Amino acid sequence: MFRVLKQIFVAIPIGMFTVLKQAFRKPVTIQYPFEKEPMMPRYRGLHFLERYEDGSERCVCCGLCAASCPADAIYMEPAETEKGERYAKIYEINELRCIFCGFCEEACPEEAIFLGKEYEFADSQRDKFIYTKEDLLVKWPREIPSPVKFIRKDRRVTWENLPEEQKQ
Amino acid sequence: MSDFNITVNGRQVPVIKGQTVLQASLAAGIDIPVFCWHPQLVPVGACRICLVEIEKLPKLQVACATIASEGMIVHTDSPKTIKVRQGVLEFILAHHPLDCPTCDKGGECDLQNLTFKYGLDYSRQHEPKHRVIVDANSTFDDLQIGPEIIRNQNRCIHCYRCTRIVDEIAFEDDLGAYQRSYHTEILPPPGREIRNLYSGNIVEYCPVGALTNDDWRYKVRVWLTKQTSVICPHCPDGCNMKLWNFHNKLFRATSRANENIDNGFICDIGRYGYQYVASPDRIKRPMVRRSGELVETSWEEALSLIRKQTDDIKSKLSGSGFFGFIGDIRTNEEIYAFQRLLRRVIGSNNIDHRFHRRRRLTPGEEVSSRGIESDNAEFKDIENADVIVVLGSDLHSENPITSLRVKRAVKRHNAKVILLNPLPTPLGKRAATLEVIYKQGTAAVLLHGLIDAVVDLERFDPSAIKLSAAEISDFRKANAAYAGVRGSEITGVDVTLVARVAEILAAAQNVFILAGSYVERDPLRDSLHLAVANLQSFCKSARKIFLPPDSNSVGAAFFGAEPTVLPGRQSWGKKAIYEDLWHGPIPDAPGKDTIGILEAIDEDEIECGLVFNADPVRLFPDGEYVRSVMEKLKLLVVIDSFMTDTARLADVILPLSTFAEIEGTRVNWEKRMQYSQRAIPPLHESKPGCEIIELLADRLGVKFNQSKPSDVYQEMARFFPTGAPTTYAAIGRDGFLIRSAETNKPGKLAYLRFVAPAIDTEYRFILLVGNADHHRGTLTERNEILMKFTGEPFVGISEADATDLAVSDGDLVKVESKYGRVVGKAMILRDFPSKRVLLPENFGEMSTNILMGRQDKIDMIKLAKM
Repeated sequence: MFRVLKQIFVAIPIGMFTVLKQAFRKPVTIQYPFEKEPMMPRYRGLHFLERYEDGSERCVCCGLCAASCPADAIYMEPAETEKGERYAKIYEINELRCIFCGFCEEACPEEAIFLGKEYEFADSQRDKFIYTKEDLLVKWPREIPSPVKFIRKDRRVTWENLPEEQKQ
Repeated sequence: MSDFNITVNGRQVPVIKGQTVLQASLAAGIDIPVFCWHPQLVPVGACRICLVEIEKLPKLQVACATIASEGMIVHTDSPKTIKVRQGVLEFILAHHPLDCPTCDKGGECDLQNLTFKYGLDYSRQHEPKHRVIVDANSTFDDLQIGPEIIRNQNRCIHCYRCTRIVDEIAFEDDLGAYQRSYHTEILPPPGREIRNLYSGNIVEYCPVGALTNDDWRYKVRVWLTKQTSVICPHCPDGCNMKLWNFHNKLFRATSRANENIDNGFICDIGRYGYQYVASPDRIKRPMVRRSGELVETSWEEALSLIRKQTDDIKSKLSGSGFFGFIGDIRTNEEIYAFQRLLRRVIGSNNIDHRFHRRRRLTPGEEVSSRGIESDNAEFKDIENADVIVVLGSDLHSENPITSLRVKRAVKRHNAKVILLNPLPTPLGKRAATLEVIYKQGTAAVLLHGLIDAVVDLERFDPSAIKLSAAEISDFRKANAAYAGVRGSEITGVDVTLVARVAEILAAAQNVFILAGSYVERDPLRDSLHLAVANLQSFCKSARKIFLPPDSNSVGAAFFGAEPTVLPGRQSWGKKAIYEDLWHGPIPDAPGKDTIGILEAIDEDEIECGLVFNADPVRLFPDGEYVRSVMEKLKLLVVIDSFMTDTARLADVILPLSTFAEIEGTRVNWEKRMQYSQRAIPPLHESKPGCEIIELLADRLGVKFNQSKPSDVYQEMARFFPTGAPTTYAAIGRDGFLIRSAETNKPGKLAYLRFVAPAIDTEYRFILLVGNADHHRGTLTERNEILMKFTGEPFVGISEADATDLAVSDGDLVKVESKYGRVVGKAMILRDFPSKRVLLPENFGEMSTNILMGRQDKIDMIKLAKM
């Protein structure tokens, strides 16, 4: 008898209060795709290939990203520019195979490949998921500043471009 | 074996007296890191990475240059040595650009591996690195120092392996180290480039990426590639190579060190020669001739056409209306299957592989060449000889690795090298003690004169040789016309020079005679073979080798590609064995050789030919005649990889796979049989030889069920000496020798009858056919990189003749003989004897055979400026 009364006079009002409280809160649901969540700083989305500040590609096609890739998603073929620089003639990532582990980013000795925050790249055909170098390279001139803090800013370290603190 | 023991890391390690600590440790399986040391080079101790701790010595010692002595206690992995290795690496890396991502050596770099193993993972250096700036416009400091070699001085760690290989192994002078300390630069001498025949080795043995080549530059990463072991198909040395492929595309060839043969050094012809495999000129699909034009078709249609046409010819002429030529560069399996197809299925014995030279003896020249064959000898025997006679061979370009052995003998124990050639050769300037230039066609006279000069010497000891005094005096009497001044009038060689050669030969304990292509091309070839045998009889201990013309000529002769012998060099009496083996009859009489075949076609006795990777129109003397004869054939089936001059005349062409696309065995001049793997699957629609032969046999009515080389090999294996491997797996990396055990006994002395050929006054120049720099045979012009060295045919003439004719370098000259004429650019050769013209045989646009006569003794030509 006492338990029934307790349910009626205590539990139900508590429940009602909770409902009322939530009804006046800001809703959690966002109106995707009109609204978007900010991404976590360590989120790993679609790859992008970086450039030096003169616009030239950072990637030298060394093959370490492909070697470290557990899903074997990266294919590349190197070539040589007129200035004797090595670059990727063909650079392809199969985003369907990719498991977004980030090993390629970690392996890259030239700070060229990064996993960005982009996740909206769904498509209806499988072959559209093979991203070529043109798709992956950041737009030049840049539309937004690069999110990356580079350790090495120039292709070739010389006395002139050596950071001041290292010159002592 | 071992003389005493030393203690390395607490282990007893056996040492042979004279070995270094490093050699003893490596032999015992104890690893010591090295950069500058190489087993074939003299140690210099330049890199200091092999420093080890030796007890009772105050400081660390370099293991590579410290001779082990009894009682030594060595530590190779004590904390002190590890720390020192770290220090050495830190000093090396102080000026290393660390551009591994761009460097082609990445993945197989000694510096990378050792830094990974011992090096620090941080740098204490804040100063910028020393940098050699080559060109301010280029980002990196790559410098092209030869047609093929690229140097990046920043990566160099100054181990001097490259300069030592060029100097000690190749005996060349086109690479050196300039300046001192870390300013040292590896460069060719001013105004020159590095372009010697062995230059590829410096790239292979560079421990870092300082020297790279165009061939491998920025193409593929080493860890992606697969390696297969193959045998080089370009010369009869039979070097072991590795082919590196990725996605069924070949990327490079490197050596696969075999101490029996190449010691780990291969020539550029082998290294870059693989490129013809992927040449765009390959025949891609079967072709048939329809209303005069060759058109592409299917295998099925081509084979049915062959069947239909052969049936007609067979009903008219039986088996003897057919012939077959097979190229010397094919594998033993293909040669064996091809002769079986011809003998058993078609019923013809007209088969030959010697379509590149005159074979038939002229009447009156009764001596038989049979029985005068190479002795049993190996590469190692060259190294042990104290006198090496090179007769009629441009050893440098014909057998580059044999030439390296000769140089090694000179380097190791000052062996004396005597060159007897119709023209000066590159080996002469580099390693020869004496170089004798004789007049083409008189080599036999020269040898007989030489023998006379040897016998004349006081130090000549008749008791040391196996000839009686009567034999010697008879021989001298018969030879009087060729001795001394009379001989020198014929040969054009100074008497004192002959005497000096005789002096060396008489003092020799161990002579090695290498006879090359000019012996095969000599008009008195058979007499010359006998003269070589005579010379051998007069030396204390001598071996002779007749170097075969192509990579598998020995195998072709052994496996029955000749009209008069059956596989295993069996005579015609043993026919029944083969009829049993092949379940059917084979023709009774021996067939015709190349000349016989050509004459028979001319007389309409032969109407159908199978030409398997051979090009008689380009190679056999009197090319115009061969062409006209081949055109007479009712059916010419050419099985080849390229559109050769012969293939252009064909009625049916079947595409054939090249050496990298097939497996099989090859026999080098030592008679060593070696197994070559398949690197990539057949390209385009080509098929391996054994498969094509099986298809043809099946279509013509007999099935052997042996379309795989391994099946053919099992059948062939019964002709090997007992105990030889019967499967590919059992062959192993050293191969095996297929020669018989008995050594060649010096036979009876043969007498020479020399008649000087009449010389036509109109044609005053002697034609010499040789090889251009970085070329050998006819396949090398399909390789882009080799064409960078010598890109076009030339007419080599002497300085004296050039002034006579008022010709300067690069002028067009007309070379004309009774049979044909060619036009080429003149090249003035220094120290070249006058009245001789050198033409390279390597270029299709200037085939030399159209200048030669089939019957002529010496090829005479005339020259005129255009």
